[in-house]
Amino acid sequence: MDGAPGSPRYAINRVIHDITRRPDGRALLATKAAFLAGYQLGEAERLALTGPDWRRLLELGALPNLVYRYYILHGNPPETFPAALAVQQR
Amino acid sequence: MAQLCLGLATSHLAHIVNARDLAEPRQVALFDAGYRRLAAALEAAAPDVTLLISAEHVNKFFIDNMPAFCIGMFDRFAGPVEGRNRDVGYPYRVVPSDLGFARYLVERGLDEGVDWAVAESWDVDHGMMVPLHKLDPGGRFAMVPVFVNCAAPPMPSPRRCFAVGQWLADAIARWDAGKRVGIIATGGLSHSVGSAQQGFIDEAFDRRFLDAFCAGDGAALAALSHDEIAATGSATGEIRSWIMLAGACAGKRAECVFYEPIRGFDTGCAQCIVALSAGS
Repeated sequence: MDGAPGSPRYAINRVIHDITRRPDGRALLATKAAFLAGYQLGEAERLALTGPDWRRLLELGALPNLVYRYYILHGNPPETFPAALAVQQR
Repeated sequence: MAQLCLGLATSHLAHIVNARDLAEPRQVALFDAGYRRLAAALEAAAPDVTLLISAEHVNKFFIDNMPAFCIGMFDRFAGPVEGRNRDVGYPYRVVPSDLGFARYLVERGLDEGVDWAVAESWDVDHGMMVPLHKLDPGGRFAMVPVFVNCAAPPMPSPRRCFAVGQWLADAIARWDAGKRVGIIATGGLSHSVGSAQQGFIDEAFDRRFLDAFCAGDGAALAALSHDEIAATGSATGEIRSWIMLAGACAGKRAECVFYEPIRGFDTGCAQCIVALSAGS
């Protein structure tokens, strides 16, 4: 069997949950690849988290509350989230 | 026997405390006035203990172990968790609770088909602490926190939420404590967080929901579907707490104290007081 133990959406939510709860979460964004290396992620998940690709994160099963928190962690104004999603419209 | 003496429902967004300038001053003033009405109702009813039912925003409860319903079982708890290490505009503080009542509900529930999860420590988030900040900032009233999963599908159905509310009322009525019990439900109404719909308020849905809630039309509330609720916003599911309150107060009419689609807060905001004949 391929992939990490747990549900298909578990790992991506675990990453966002963890990084957004850490006091040094924003600083960790500067070394995001190194942080993500600590998780068993598929390529699509890793790319969406690294981008970050907000729309893809939601498509991969990340909970909206967590995606929003991850968006704010990146220093983005909260009210700009819908516009950021629209830009990534496929 | 114990007596259900109070039923309140309110939106719980933190903007009313820490981002007030995003909304029209008229709407903020009405929201504040509604909170004052609810606070007066709490003061008048003077419950010995109150169930505080709310969604939670993936702070304590995560998908590695997500209950449908959970009761906090302790004599005190703290919050908001968001304000433990930073200023969120209202204080992180300790709130009195009631371990005996919580244990009674858990034990009866496990015997009677309501399999509560239990939290014996819990830093609650803004969903509970914002309403408490507005209704009981001094921590005079004992609160038992009750979680309902509104953030991570699969979530309990409105029908199940209504039934658990009915069970709560029945269990309260059988509690051999001679105490007065209140229920405060928080969350909603239509809004989205972290989705393309963010900013959309489904005012028509909100008004239909409030009409049914205020008419004591439990059948209409219980008949709502997951999809119907989700279509109005990614976070509208928080109305499950209101539906639990409706179940507990089944058939009782309520007064809509306040409703405004507050664009600056991206949320349909509402407050209601259930007309309970005994002591309210």
